[in-house]
Order: sequence, then structure tokens, then C-alpha cells
Amino acid sequence: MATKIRAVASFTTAQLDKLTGRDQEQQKEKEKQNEQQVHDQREGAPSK
Amino acid sequence: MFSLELDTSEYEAFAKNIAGASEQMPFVLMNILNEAVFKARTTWIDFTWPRNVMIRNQAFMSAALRVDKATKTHLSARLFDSLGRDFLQRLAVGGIDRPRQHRTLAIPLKSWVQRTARGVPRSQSPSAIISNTPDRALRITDKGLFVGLGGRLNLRYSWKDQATQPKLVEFYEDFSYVVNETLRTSFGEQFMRAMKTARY
Repeated sequence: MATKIRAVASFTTAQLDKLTGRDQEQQKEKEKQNEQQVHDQREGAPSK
Repeated sequence: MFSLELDTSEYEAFAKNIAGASEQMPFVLMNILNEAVFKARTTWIDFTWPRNVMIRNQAFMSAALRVDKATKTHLSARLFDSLGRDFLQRLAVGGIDRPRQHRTLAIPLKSWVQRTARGVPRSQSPSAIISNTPDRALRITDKGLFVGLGGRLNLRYSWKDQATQPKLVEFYEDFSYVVNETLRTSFGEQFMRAMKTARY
């Protein structure tokens, strides 16, 4: 099939996240989840 | 397809330091993309195409080019040829022209053919020449179509399996330049407009 002429200009999701501050929110949420996971593991670990 | 990703690193400070700016960013970026791609369309029609090609149909490019606009959730704007003329892409990047319906390409002699807005006139097509020329004056060989005139054979069409099309029109270079320039020059204006219309 023949290729047609087509030009696309775009912004990436990562760029938008940076500009809207969503990347920092996501980072914080990730850290929170990690902390929660560590906390859950400690609670659930059998005592010696 | 030509894909251009734009640099937004300059504008991160705006978004961080001005209250309420980050919420308006999708709207700002959408407006910039749409403005830039419509400007690129105008540039292709008014400058890029006439600069490199002899125009016979004034309305062709404006009839062919369409824009798919960006939205706040889909930050990508597209400029494309809605008529599906594959020769535009060949002119933009170079390539090889091959026959689509027949075995060979019939290439008319440039000094003889009169091209119009719709291409070679029907009266000058190979089939018209064959039907209108008496057999004694017509020669069809492996190399081309000849017509006897003025006591000698004159070439009208030559047959080729394929023809090389060099890159001729700088569509993508102009697109890249116009879009980047619009981003650079219009960001402030679009940002101000978005902040004025912001709802809190």
C-alpha cells in the first residue's frame, strides 16, 4: 500500500505529567505504597 | 509518517511557580498544537508547495490537506493528505515511481506534452495517439511510442519499468520549523489566555 504524506506533532504523557505535577504525586504514592508494603511485611513476619 | 516530539523543558518553571498553572497545562498544550499544525498547513499551501513545484491547479493543496486536531486528553495533532495522493510522499522523501495498473510507465516527452491542471490532456494520451495516428506513421517499439512527422520519427512516450523521483519538496523540514517556532513564540500568549479563562 502506498504511503501517504502525514506529519504529526505531539507531546508525550511524561511531559504532560511533569508540567501538571502528576509525576511527583505518582512518586509520592509509590513511596507510600512501598512503606506500607514494608510495614505489612514486618507485621506479618513470625516472631522468634 | 513524520513524527515530531516537542520539547517542554523550558515551560516547567511556569507550571511550578504560578498558582493554578499546572491545571491549565493540557489546555495550553492543546491550543499550541492546534495553532502550530494549522500554521504548518498554511505554510505548506502558500510557501512550500509553490516554492518547489510548478502549480497548475491552484486549489489542489488546500483541497488535499486536512488537520486532525489535538484534544486535552490526546495531545497529538496531525496534518495529512485526505485525497491519498502517494506522489506527495515521494516528493517529500524521494523514492521510486512504479506502474500501478500496467506493466510499464509511459513517460511523455517533456518538450512535446502540454500538462494541465488535470495532468496530460486526453488527446495526448498514448491510447489517443494510437487511435488517431495512421498505421503507416505509427511505431510502437520496446523503447517507446513514435509518430512519423515531417519525414522522420518523433518520440512521444518512452516506456520505463520504474522512474526515480528525487526528493523535491521540503514538507517535513518546513513542518518541523513552523511547529517549533510556534511553540517558542505562542506559549506566552496561549498561557495567558488559558489563565484568563481558568475556572476555580
